[in-house]
Amino acid sequence: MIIENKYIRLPSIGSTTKKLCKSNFSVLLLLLVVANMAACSSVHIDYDGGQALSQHTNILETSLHLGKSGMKDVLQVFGKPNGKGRFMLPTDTTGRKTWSYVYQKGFTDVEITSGINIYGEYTANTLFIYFDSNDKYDGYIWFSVTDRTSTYPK
Amino acid sequence: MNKLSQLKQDRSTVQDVRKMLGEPSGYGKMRLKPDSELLDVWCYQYGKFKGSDVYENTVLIFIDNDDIYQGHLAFIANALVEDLTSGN
Repeated sequence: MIIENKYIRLPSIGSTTKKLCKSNFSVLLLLLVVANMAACSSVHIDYDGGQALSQHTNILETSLHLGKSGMKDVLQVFGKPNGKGRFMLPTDTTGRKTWSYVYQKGFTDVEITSGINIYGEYTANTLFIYFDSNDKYDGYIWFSVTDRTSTYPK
Repeated sequence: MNKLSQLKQDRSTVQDVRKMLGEPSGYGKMRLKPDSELLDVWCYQYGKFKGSDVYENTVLIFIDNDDIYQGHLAFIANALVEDLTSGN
């Protein structure tokens, strides 16, 4: 995760001047902060490691073998999962261990000009891999989405 | 999300899905069990900021090989965005 941040360094001044100008500096500091925010404030998120989308299904269908491949095989292909959980549909008789892989890339920008405008865009690749009661590869779902957000109208 | 109930399993087509939800914002694939059919996944995601909150609707539509609607998964997330740049 990369977070852009801007620092404001104040000039060094004497204690008398400090007292005299304390309120003025507060105003200056506030103005600098507002000016800084008006320019642009960004938060960038970039989790790397996603497989090329076109390869996802191919890898899941050929590099791994349903009902045969084990957790070690999945680790070799996709690496360590971002998360682990369980999955059980109403049609299932038992729950299944689930590994999740989530790769995200995007940004959020805040602009303060005549008003506040927040917008962003990100692409997320999500992959869930299911295991049966013998810890064998049992199924999957993956999907990719590109989302654009904007300021919610007040 | 209520309008998703208008889609009929084994009957609605991809044209019906497009007519109702428009073009998807993403795609994917799903095979729930080793012996089950490989399904297409169409993903729709809608995000909005409100103050420091983010509201995000995610809809996954499952389509079979004959381009027929087979089901969906829909959920809403409400996440608080922390100001990670403060306090430095």
